Amino acid sequence: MNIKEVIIEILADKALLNSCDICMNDSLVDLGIDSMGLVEFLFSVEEQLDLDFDINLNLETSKDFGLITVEEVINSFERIINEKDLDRN
Amino acid sequence: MKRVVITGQGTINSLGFNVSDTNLALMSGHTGIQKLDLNNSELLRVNIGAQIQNYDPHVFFKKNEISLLDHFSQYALISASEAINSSGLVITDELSEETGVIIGSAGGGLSTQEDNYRLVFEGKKNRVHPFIVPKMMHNAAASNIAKRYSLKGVTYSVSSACASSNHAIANAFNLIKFGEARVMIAGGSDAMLTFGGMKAWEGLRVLSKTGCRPFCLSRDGLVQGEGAAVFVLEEYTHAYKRGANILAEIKSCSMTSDGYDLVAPSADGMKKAIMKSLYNSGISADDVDYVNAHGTGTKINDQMESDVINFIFSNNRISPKVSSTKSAHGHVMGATGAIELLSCILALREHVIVPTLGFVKRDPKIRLDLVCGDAQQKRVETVISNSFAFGGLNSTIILQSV
Repeated sequence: MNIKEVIIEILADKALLNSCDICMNDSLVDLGIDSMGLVEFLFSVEEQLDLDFDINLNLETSKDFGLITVEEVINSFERIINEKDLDRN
Repeated sequence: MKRVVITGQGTINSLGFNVSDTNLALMSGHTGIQKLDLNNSELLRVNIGAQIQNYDPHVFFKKNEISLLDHFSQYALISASEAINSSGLVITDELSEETGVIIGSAGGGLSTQEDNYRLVFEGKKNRVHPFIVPKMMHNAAASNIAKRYSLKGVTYSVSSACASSNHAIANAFNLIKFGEARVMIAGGSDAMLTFGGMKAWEGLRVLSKTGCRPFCLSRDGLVQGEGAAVFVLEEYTHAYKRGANILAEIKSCSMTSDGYDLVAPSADGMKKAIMKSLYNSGISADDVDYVNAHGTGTKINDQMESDVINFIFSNNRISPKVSSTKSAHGHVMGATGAIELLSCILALREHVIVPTLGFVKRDPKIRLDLVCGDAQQKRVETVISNSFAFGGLNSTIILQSV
């Protein structure tokens, strides 16, 4: 399963939707994911991908985070993961 | 209805082992926040806190007492002893029947639980110390104080996260006000600076790695602390007749619930807590000289609390001074409101407002008359202290000089 599929599956699980109902243009707020849902989402991504994301919500501000789209979330995580892979190499 | 006054105070926290050292540190702008000294701290993402340094329980307790006392009970007992000694109160058999203890704590005996889980699950031990239950129970701090001073009145613990000690003081205040007790020992204690306590908070992604900077543009989260503060609350005529040194009068304590979210604060809940405390005491917003803010240093709390303070005090002839002392003693969870009350009493007695530390840049969205950097002299007669907790629980205390 690639990163995109993992993230969509977790978002669907948190939003109580089917994966096929998640649109790339939906924001986390559109999906009904609040600040607690966001924290749980980050935890699930870390667990499933066995990675650590050192994200402080005071810096990202949960509101801004909530407004970004599913596509942007996937792009951000792909970028973070690629950077981590580069670090490892 | 009876009037309620404070006649004794005691504390132990990262700034000092008693009230005078703590006040000195608060006034001189010293912070107790530093790198944590914890087992396995290399596994923590966030590694700072306001930890009590060079603490040796053997200085305060006999060896056989220590095996029954979690750190949170030790801190509460040390604080209660200072408070009762400084109050000059003589607890006769008769008075002991009308004296009780309410201590707030968010974590209770967390280190006792953690140490023993480690022994069982990590160390594969199949036997644990027999006193774990009486050590870890939330009422251990209150009951140990009652035991030491043979107090027989209403005694229990309060747990409402970061509002625990304001709730404890509010409950004690009400008991005296309505004639159920003549004296109450009340405050809060927490010792959650354990590996597990830090790990749990890390998961919420709201801890700062760089320090607590309430209301500053650069604020990036809260910093945990540990410790306790305990007060002697006394019915006014009882205190007056025995010639007690009255530190302050508690004019009112409010308690409200947001009924909304477990972690996100609510402006409406904050507003109601402050308004209710003013309404109950008959004190006008215009008379408030100093607000000891909850001021955690998180983006959302500080913005919301600032907006609420602005809203309530916008018509004041002179805006109240505001500071958050969490930048000095950290966020002491269930004890934080009690520790913050020390600064309120200091303001009333010495007319000194202790500063918010770590402030580097004004946030254009925060509009407060903030005391930061250095302590300020100001004639202070009325103060309010806010505590807002996870679970959507709010409590505000109003103190006045007598």
